[in-house]
Amino acid sequence: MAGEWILGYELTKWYAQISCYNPKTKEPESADPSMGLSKFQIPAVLLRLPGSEDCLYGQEAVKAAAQGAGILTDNLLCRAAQEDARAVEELSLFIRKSLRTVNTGIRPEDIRRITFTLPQITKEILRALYNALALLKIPEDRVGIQDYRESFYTYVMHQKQELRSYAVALFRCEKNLMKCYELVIHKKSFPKVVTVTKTGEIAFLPEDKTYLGYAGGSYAKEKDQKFAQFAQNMLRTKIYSSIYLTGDGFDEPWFPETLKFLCRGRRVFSGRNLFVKGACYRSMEELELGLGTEFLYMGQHKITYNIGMEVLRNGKKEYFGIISAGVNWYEAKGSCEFLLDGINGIELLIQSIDRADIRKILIPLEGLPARPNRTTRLRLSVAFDAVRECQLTAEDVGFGEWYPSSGKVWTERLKL
Amino acid sequence: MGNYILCHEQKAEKPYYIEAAGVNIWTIEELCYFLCEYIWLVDRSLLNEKLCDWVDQELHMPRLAKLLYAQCYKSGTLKEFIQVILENTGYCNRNEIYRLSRLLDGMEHVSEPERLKQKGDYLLKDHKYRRAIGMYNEVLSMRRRSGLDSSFYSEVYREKGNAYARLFLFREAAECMDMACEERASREARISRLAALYLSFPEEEFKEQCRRRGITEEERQEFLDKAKEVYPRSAHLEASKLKQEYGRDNV
Repeated sequence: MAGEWILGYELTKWYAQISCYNPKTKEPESADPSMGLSKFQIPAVLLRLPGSEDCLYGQEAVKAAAQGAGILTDNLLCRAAQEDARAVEELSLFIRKSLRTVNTGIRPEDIRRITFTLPQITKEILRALYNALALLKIPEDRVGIQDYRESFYTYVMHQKQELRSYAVALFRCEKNLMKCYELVIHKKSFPKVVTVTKTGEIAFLPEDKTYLGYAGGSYAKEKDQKFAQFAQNMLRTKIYSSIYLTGDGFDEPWFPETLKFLCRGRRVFSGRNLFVKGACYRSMEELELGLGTEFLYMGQHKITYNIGMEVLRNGKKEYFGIISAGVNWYEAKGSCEFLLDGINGIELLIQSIDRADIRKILIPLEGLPARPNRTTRLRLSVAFDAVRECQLTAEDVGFGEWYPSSGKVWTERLKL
Repeated sequence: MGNYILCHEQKAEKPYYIEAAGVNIWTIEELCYFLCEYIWLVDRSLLNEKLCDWVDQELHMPRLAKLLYAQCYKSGTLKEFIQVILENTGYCNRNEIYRLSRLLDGMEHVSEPERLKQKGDYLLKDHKYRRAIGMYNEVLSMRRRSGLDSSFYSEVYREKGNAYARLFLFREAAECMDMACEERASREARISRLAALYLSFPEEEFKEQCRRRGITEEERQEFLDKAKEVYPRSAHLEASKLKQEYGRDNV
């Protein structure tokens, strides 16, 4: 399998999880750091051993710290996001070490595709993660990053069709906070647009340990009732084919009443590796081992505009897409090179995904060197700073020895 | 209305050297530009396997390369070879390809000195002055068997003189212009001769040189009036000063 690893990687403040594509079953499988105990989560901590260059990570680090062997470094992703170079190094070290749970001999260059799933995505987190991956020498074109909602989408879309005939709900319970999401497939369009929206959240009172035990205790009962009420509210308006429960809040069976309600005419699944498997499915899709183009997920980070140009390609006039709608803004990068043929500016076509908004943007090329027709070669690059903010850069790349590049660059910021 | 011609993504890491033009090219668009704009420089030496290999391995255009290999192996004509390139790249439109094809047809009936003169003209336009002079010398050496008239040779001398002038070799340019006028004293040749003399000699000597060549006072004055428009400083510049003022162009 050398050079062929296809991975999903979940990284939170507290833990990491890794899922790996198994070519035999053609499904993702969770890497098990607990050697058969099915505890897939790796504590996201590092412990530098005193007087040594070596570091411990995960459960080993937690144990060593408990024995007073050193001080734990936790919260790796957030600290790295605060532009701390040392923290970025530690994050990359943790990722490198944690990848060994997949295979002890795995090297970053052996990774064919890896998708990270994160609870939330910010510019700072993205920068930190990309920097950490650069230290690991994992090229950006082999990396995907998505949020939990998109991972939920990719997970659900790879389940049996009957499990998503109608809407799909997700209850995510971390500590005492529960959030509910619904996944809806809009079947009238092609590709079928899929959305995941947050429909509600509820906070439980923290448990008073002196008060009672787990299931059966009155605290658990109250909590169960509250959850049941919440679930009824959430599921009232639509028909749901399946329901997923995830997060550490569901580790203990404190919700028998709610479960009875949830299971009424619906399939209910519970687990901790939904997001990481979703991430692995995304990696598979990028390598065309997945769904194809039937569905298009539109989430909060997805660009809703197509950006392109009318060009002559092999003598025929056609639309050339530089950025396609449906891509996460932080992964949206596109470029093309063209020759100016009787024109002194760049005209871009910007089209919203529903075609309701079609715009033509003209980028003037001030100071463009005078050259004969079809000898001005420009490279146009498009990148995004936010979901509705893009930067267009045109560069004179020259035309061989006849017309070397003038080095001129034109930039334009665009609000979509 | 203008267009954008989408370029082929791949650029060559190793350029292809077009000997006829003395240039390196890195892209298929540059090859097309050469074929369109320098058609007189194109000869059968272009039709070779090395170019096909370059298209295949450096530009990663296997389909085009396959078509070009086929032309090479069946010993197709230069026109067919060029057509294959232009029709499969989209750099030119149909009309331009047709026009070039007609030109290539016409070139078959053009004598060798005429073709070489065209090559010289391209090289001159491309600032390759020494190569252009070499090309014009070759044309002149073929004179005995060419059967071309003196107006043709007048043009050859004049362009050769232009090439010398671009190298700031104004005396040599003046000699060429003299020869051009001897062949056929067209208006262009006479003006070029005056310009070369003007740039070669100080004002008094310029006058004397003009007198020696039988250039009338009226013609000289007319030239000087025009020259002052071209050289607004009005002061007569000696060649040596000009040489100092401007660096030599690409030779």
